[in-house]
Amino acid sequence: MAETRPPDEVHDARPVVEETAGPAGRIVERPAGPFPPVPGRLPGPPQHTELGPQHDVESVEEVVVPAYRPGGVLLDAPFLPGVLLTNLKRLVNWSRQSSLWYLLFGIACCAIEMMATGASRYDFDRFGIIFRASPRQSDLMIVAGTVTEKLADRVRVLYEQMAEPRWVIAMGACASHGGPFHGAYNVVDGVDRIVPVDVYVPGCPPRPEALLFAVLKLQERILGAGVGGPGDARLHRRLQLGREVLSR
Amino acid sequence: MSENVEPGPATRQVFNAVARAFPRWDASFTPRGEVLVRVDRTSLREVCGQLKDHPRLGMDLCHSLTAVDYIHEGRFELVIHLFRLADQARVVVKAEIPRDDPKLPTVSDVWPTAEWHEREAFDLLGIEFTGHPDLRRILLKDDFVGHPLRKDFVDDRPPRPRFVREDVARRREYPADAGESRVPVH
Repeated sequence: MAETRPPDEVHDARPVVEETAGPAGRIVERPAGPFPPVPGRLPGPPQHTELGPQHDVESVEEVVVPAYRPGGVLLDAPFLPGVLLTNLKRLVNWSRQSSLWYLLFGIACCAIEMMATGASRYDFDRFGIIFRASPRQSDLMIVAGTVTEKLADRVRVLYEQMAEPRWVIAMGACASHGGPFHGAYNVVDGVDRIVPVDVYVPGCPPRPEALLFAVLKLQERILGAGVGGPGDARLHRRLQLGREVLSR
Repeated sequence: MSENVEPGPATRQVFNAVARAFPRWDASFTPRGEVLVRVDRTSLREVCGQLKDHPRLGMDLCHSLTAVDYIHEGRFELVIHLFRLADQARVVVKAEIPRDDPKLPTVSDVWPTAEWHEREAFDLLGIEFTGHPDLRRILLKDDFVGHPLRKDFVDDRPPRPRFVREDVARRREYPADAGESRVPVH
């Protein structure tokens, strides 16, 4: 097994970690609460040194790693100011919840409120939530309105066309349980009879604040349980498949 | 309709023209100030053709065509609302249909608007319009069984099951749901 490939300066470069810097790699359970102050550095605005701006750890924690939640598992690295470590699960979940693209799918009067929420006054875009006209590019389906029996198959098809991971918000009374049309001959009593729903928004129609609140709840849910969590549909389907195979 | 509405001059002109040209028609006024023409279903097409094409009538717009289920009297009633764009004269045509033989000649060749209205009446009430070019369901799914606006319609379809996510059943495992929400609720 001879080494045939010549060394590549770019790809073989590894970050040099000072072994004397601290107990690198030691995983500890970080207690809830703010970060302890770094010795020798006062909390406050960034201090400019010859290496550039050196941020205070407490302020950086809010900016760099918003995926961090109190009580989570962090690599304990207070010896590197301005750098925080997290695990991949939290990072992926944070990136997923930060760019929820929703399917432009207004069915009834709730769509007016959804348009108002997406417009400049309530401004979905500041949460990274942008409408897409194709289910292939969407993460989130906001079912805004009454779902009729004739529409039910189409809603299911659109949901199936979305790539996983995908989430559904049932906006308004009609999408939640049929609303004033509950029990009517051509109305589906809630879109959760067709697709699994993550967040239900009450109201007829809900105000834009309520829809924003629902999206924030969904973001919390994705942060708390996304990759590998209870909301990971693909993982759970595989687990279910494994359980079925094992039970034979 | 609590108050009666007096018919306008254009509607009166239509009534006079009907009384002069077709004295055998059963014409009167509705409480809303429209000319009401009650016809037999065998003469429906002839009456509608005269209402459309007679030079002193000329009802050129079909507002609506629908039907009512009078189940205790064993009949449907077809209701056609007509309108004349020039002077806003209004005419209502009503025809009785026996409930055990709900068939009518189509008027979709007189007013093309009536084609979809007749499809709707067929869809929801099961009235068959003979001579209709494309009599299919228009609002409900093609495999729907029954006609839901009939008073004896019984919806015996089983309810669809709900999706309950595995994570909703195990809600306690959500660390995010246990804590305070990020948005204050007032």
